[in-house]
Amino acid sequence: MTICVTLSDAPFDPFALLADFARDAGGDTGAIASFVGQTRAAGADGTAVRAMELTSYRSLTLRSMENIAAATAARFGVAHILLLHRVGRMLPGEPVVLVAAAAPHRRAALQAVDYAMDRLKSEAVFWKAEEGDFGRRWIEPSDADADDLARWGISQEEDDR
Amino acid sequence: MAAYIIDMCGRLADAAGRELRLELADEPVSITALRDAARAIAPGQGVNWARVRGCIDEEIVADDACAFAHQRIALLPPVSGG
Repeated sequence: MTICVTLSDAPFDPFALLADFARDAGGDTGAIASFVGQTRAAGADGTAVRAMELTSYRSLTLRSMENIAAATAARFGVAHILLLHRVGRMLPGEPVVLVAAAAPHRRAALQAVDYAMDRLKSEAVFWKAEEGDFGRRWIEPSDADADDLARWGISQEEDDR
Repeated sequence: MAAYIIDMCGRLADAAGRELRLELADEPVSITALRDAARAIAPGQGVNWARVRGCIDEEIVADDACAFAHQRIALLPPVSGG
């Protein structure tokens, strides 16, 4: 099993990295699933967003990502998992996150990516701010994030650490 | 007096900057005391201070945990997630 976790302050090409991941996973892997998240041009309330800034506390952030990756690999039996997250200031359309999982069968790979993303969205140690005509505003965890976690039997309170 | 350097994360940095220097009479001091001192200097806007956690030497700790000035200390508001 391989777990690759990266925190990047530079733009990245998710599809080139995904090609590398598929090659490294080897020919005996039955399924590879992935998710690429991009910076949105609008906030949750529909207002235009010119940029997003993600900040981290590097050691804790990496550890939170490593914990998510390890838990994902163990829960779904994936052979290889990749979590890459950007930090810094990003413009709409820029890739923010790449998650990829390789497993013997499709359902494990798909669920692993879904699970890892739900945990990243609520648990990973990041702070997110949006910039626009409204100025600058910090983004708080949403009820939807809590609902997403609950799908996997995890409560926000349990996770709020 | 002991000089504590606090890493201020997320929205806490808006009011305090990324690093806040606190001169306190006591050493060590609890996370609660550090948080109260930081709040008095840089309350910020929209900060839910009751949910701000402390971190000592890269470990999240309980509010009654004590820190020495030479340690790496951070205050963390609730995370946004990725």
